[in-house]
Amino acid sequence: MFDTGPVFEDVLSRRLGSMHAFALFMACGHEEYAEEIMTRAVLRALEEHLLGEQPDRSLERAILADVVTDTPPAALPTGPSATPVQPADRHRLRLVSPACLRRAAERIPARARAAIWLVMVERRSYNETADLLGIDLDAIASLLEWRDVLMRAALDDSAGDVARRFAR
Amino acid sequence: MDCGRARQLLWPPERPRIADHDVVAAKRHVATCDACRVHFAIDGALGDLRTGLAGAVPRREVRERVFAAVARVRSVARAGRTVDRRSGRRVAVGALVVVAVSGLALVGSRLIDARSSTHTTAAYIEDYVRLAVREDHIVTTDAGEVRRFLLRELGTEISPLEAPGLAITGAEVCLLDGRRGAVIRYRTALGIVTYYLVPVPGIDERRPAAERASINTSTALVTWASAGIERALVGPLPQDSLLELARRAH
Repeated sequence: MFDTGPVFEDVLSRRLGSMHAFALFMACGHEEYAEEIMTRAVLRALEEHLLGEQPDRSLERAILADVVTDTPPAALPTGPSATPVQPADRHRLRLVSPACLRRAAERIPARARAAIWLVMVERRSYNETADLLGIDLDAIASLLEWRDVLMRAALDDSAGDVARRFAR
Repeated sequence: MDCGRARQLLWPPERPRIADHDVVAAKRHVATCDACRVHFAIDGALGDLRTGLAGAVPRREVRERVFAAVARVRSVARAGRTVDRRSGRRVAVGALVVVAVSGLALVGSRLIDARSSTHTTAAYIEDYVRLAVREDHIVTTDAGEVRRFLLRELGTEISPLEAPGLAITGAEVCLLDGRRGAVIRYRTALGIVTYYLVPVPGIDERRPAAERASINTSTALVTWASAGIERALVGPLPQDSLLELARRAH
């Protein structure tokens, strides 16, 4: 009998852009790796869809299952690399490009990267993020503390970018 | 209240929320906590960066490769599903659907011989239904504009069918068995006729043939393949008229 549920390809077509942006962040800007992550996740989601899962839900979970495989990170690093970004840094933040931030993502654990993306970029609530990652609210708060490490690394990287441009 | 709880309750800051006791306490905490104020201020300063990150668009080749991978899995899944239990012959299980005047209604199903078409009838009908949530489309009566739209979206030169009594009303991108294709819609005296074109590299040429797909209304279906494109015409025309149009396009 004809299936009147959502067509997987149609949902995928709508979601592919956001999946790609997420995969690119998780892959720290490496395009080929991002495509690999995305394709693997899509095929896993399709498999689940063929067994009756709703495509929206399965796509979301499949990509997280693919990229968040590390154990919860140890304590935050100390020292300058984790100094909280201050309002005085605001003007320097304007120099940070998306590419620069993706490169900086390499400095933080995959689990923290995923939490930061879901909360800071997709603007999901802490509860929703905890549910998606299968962890509790305290763990979310700890993972989000890596934001400062990420932003500090991005600021350093963008300063390097600017210096390299002037050196040319 | 501690910082973690306050941030959780007030996240995301741009979303309106009911000011219950907890939320009021969280706001009071943020107003007096330097760390939390800095946290939200920095978040506010990241607006453009967030937009840039979330707006990364996959290249068309990447989209094509992902959809091609889906199509491969689909075809394997379909092949597994279509083995007739009694005879062991490969047949496609097609679903026959009526598109009712006032909406879409499911009315029945039957077996369709799969050798005549790469796609099952159900796949065409599936996409016919999918049009309700379409995205990439244009509304135009200009065949040249349709050609340019399809070249841009699919990377393939596709010419709309032109014949007396057929007036183009628009075109869009479709997904059939995970493959991206084109749909061109025409207005006729008897109703809307839909022309499907799905590029399938290496497909054998096939002459137009009416499918036994139909349907207890006047909707008819003709499929054929030419120039590396799987094609179908679906509409409320007499079968002979639809066949004549298909031969003209072949």
